Amino acid sequence: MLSSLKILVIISVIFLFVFFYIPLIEMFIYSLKSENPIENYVSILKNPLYIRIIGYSLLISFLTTIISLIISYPIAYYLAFIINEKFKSIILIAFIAPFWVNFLLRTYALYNVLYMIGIINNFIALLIGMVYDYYPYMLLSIYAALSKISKSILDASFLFGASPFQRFTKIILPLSMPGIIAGSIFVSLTTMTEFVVPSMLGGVEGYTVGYLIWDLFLKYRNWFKGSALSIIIISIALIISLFYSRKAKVVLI
Amino acid sequence: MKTRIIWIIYTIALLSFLYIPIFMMVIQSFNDSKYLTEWQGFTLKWYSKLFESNEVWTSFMNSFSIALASALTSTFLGITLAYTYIRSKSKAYDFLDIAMYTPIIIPEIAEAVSLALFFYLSNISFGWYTVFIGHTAFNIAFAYFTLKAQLSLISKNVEDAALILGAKPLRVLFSVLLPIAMPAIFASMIITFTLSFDDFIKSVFTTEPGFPLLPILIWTRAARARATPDLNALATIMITISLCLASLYTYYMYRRS
Repeated sequence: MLSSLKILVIISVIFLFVFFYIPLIEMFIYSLKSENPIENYVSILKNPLYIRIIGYSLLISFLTTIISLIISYPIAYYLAFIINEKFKSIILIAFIAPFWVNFLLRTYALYNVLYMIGIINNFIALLIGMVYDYYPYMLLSIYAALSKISKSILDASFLFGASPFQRFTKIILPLSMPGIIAGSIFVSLTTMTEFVVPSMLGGVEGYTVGYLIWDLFLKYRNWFKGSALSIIIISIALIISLFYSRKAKVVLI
Repeated sequence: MKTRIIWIIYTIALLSFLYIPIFMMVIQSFNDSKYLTEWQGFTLKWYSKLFESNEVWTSFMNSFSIALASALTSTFLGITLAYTYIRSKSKAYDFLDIAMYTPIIIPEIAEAVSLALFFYLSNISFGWYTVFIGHTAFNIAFAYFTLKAQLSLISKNVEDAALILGAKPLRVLFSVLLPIAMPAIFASMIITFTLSFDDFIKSVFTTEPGFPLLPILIWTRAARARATPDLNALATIMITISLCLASLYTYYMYRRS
């Protein structure tokens, strides 16, 4: 049966290769096009404005990840260990359902509320928006890790006289690390290049690297530089995911 | 007891954070007043205004046809890849497995601009096919992972039993494998449909002004302070559709267990 599927497998591989990998390679080659092959890169890395925007985006992504982690962990813990079975699935579904709502509409809905309470077009609004759109990913990924922890391990720690604090720091926290890592990778990578939230909620403080790439391609039509910046961003994304997966010794991919 | 109340309050607070904006948008779509802060009575006029708009209808049909085609194609290709990966012993598929992760981890905007550049340099004119290709390249990877997780739960013994009992491979595929895998296939189609239908960044970079798509229409209205209340009406309809799809997805995904 595998042999009869082979043609379809080859078609899928070609599809992915032609429409995903070749464009990336082509963009890389394109980014080198100038008198001096690395000129586009040098001009980006030497420009303090660009560096500041990249740094600013990394800061936003870092803060969003931390805030999401802090507000999600207690809920994930509550869902995994404390809540009774009857309510667990209802609460879980309640946290998952908004994911299905169109991302732009969710952000627009938040815009209306922030507009009403007068926090809009600034850094705080931007952060609230990022956390609003992304914290459920963190919550679910931590919950997934916590719910795998076996009850017998927790019982054993109790029998051996561990205090609740020790039980948390020595057992639950280390065992939930893969979930924290997976959630952090997802949240930090997506928020780093997020375009919709900063431009809708951030006002002048919403000029992040996603916005810059958008402008380089659609506004300034400087595709060479835009390609180089995209390659830089892809590299940062790969470094972040490698850093996390090394750190936790989990195989991310 | 006291700690229990704190947990409950905290959960409710986080859920309100998530739901209040969405509920307000839904309520607002029935508000006779244009302004958020005043309620002037129930109306359906924003809905009728929405249905009169040609622009909305065209964008909806474009997005819908692309999402449907992309969901079918990516699920079909994704299932062949997932099945081959699970059953084949060849090392080459481990490499393929890694290659499938890249579309998921690289920033969406970088993928979008690389596609725009590719189509531009290949002199392909932007429209239905370019958007479809952009969405599907990503969706194949997504379908692959959704289906791989589900298919790996099917025991190989079932297939072997059918083969030993004399069923032809194609018969095994259609009478044994596909019926077992059907819930996973539906789940994958629903999720890839939603990903394509809602996608904004890849759509912006692979379409042209003459080929409007729903997410872009929402964007131009919501972000440019041109928002009119009929956007709330559109949002309410889309939320209803999304939640129906979400319940179907949950039903198919967890029916097995």
